[in-house]
Amino acid sequence: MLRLRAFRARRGDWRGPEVDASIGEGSVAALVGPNGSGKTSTLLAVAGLLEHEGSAELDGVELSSIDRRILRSRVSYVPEDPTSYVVRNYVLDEVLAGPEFLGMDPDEALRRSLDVLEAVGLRGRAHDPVEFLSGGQLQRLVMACSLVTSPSVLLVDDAISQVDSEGRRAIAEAIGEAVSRGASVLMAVSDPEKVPLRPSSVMELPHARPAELSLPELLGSGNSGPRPILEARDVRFGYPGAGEVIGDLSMRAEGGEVIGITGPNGSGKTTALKLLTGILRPRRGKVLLNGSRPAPPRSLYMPQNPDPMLTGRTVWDELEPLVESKLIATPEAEMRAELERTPIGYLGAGSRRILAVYLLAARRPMVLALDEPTAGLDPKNAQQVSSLVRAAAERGTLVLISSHDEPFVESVSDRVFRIEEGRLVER
Amino acid sequence: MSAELLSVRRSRVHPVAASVAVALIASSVTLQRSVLGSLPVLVTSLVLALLTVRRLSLMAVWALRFLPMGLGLGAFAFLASGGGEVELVPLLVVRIETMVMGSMLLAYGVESWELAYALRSIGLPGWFSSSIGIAHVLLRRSLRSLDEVIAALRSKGLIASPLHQLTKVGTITRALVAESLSSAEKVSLALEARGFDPEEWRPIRPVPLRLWDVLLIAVVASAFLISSLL
Repeated sequence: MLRLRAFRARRGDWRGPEVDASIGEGSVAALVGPNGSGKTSTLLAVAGLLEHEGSAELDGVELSSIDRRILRSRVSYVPEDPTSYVVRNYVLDEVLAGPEFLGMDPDEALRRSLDVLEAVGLRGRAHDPVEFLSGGQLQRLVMACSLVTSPSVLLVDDAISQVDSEGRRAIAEAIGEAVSRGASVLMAVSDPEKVPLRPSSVMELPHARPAELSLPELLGSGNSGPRPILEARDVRFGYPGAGEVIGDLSMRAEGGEVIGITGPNGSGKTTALKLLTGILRPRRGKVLLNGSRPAPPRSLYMPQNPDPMLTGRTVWDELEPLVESKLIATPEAEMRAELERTPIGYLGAGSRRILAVYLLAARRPMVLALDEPTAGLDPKNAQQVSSLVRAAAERGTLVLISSHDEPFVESVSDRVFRIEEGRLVER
Repeated sequence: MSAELLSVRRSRVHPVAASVAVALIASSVTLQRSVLGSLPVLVTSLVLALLTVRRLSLMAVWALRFLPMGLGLGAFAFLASGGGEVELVPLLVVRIETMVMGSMLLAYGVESWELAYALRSIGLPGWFSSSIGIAHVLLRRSLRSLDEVIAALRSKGLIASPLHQLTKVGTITRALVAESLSSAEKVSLALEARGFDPEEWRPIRPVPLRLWDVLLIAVVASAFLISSLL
């Protein structure tokens, strides 16, 4: 039984939302709130990875008084961003890391590791390098890492944001199995529609961060140059040592269109976007944008993790060059002061993702490719991304979106393709 | 089955063998004062890197990235010598490129945690072995991040041509350092979340030595000797 009383995460002067909850053995509770409401901080504090105020008890014992090693074997945290959790280079080694750190018997550790990999559908990838996994497969891997110690408490932080339907089912079953063993599960969710398992209790959190990201209007009515035409002909591609990922990719699209690309995790969606924007060179076949190879600034790509794009100290540092180039409107003095005051590091993951989409859309590229643009976003932020995508298309940009989030892709796209065996099939 | 799975070795070169080889290569080219004398070690490093990394394109990318550094140091040494020793320019280029190729044995031929396992198994303390292993994890991440950072900066228009990768080293380095610091913080949290304690940590499996590892050291040692005789 996990009991939280007047529990608040603490980070310097910042305090998270107050949470009171009792999660019995074999029960599931959900913390639901928008991006920036303090869900992740609350889970990290329960896991003992962040300071807290108030009380958190596990079976009547205050968590902070439990021996560190015992606490780590009993309380597992599943992060939202799987890339942040990976500390080893191979799938099986990654799962073995937890048992190894806790001093588990090697044979027992191996047996458990193979079992949890089987449960999340990654048994066949046990000896693959982690870098060969897609974002969704990584999320399944970190779920396996968290389950391998058979924890009493499982803290799941928006862990299905990049997972396809098959992966969601596998993750839900794996959590369900932990619940049936008696584990108490606390899930953090941005979008109540995307809960991997039906909770028995729901706690709604208000928006905790004072500043919501408000950005100046995009300027310009369209590309002044020729209408972009992107053509891919019989494109084939494979990573060294990983076999062929894209088998025979062909498509044609024009400026002003929004093209959605869906498919299961690991099907090659990201690779397809990188090929279509010129980041990767095809092994065979051609990708042409108005007759020549696509490259920045004509084609821009936003990766699944947009953080490396945000190099400024404050939001204004990122926007100033766009204002000077008259690509976005000059903000009012009050808005500008707010943007100057807002450090990038202070923004939540949702706001950083929106800012990255905005920065690229503002440059009015011929082709704009967005990789999982709604991963981990609450419905309001996902709507803001949708508006930016439509605004870019209205300015004549061809927008390519790769996502497992099929409802979002369906709602925003003019045409939707699915990757099947390395080929793009229009639906 | 479990014994078999736990004895799988990920590293193409045994971490200790790779460390010894890199130390020999670095010592040899540092001590050597002539281009001709450095050539045996350069050729050995190239061949071993090719056999270990098995990606010529990757080797070429790193060789080109460090070429300006070799040229720059060479030019500086030439000027510092009063302009009398023009051979210093090719010598410094060969020295840097040899070290780059040699380092690839460690960077791409060794699995990070097996490096830690191997160091622990030769009696080094857990905190030291694990720190080296974790540093290797971060190095591998930074190598991968570099491409991500360059792609991100290209998307923002901060790098518009391949030449900018040389002229905007400061911009790239700042972004890479920020990304690496963030990565280090995340790795630290991930280790803490799984109960990692460097004092208590024990390797879960051995890292077996193979004949190839012994041959590798023998080849590098021979190159070292030949080089010192030239």
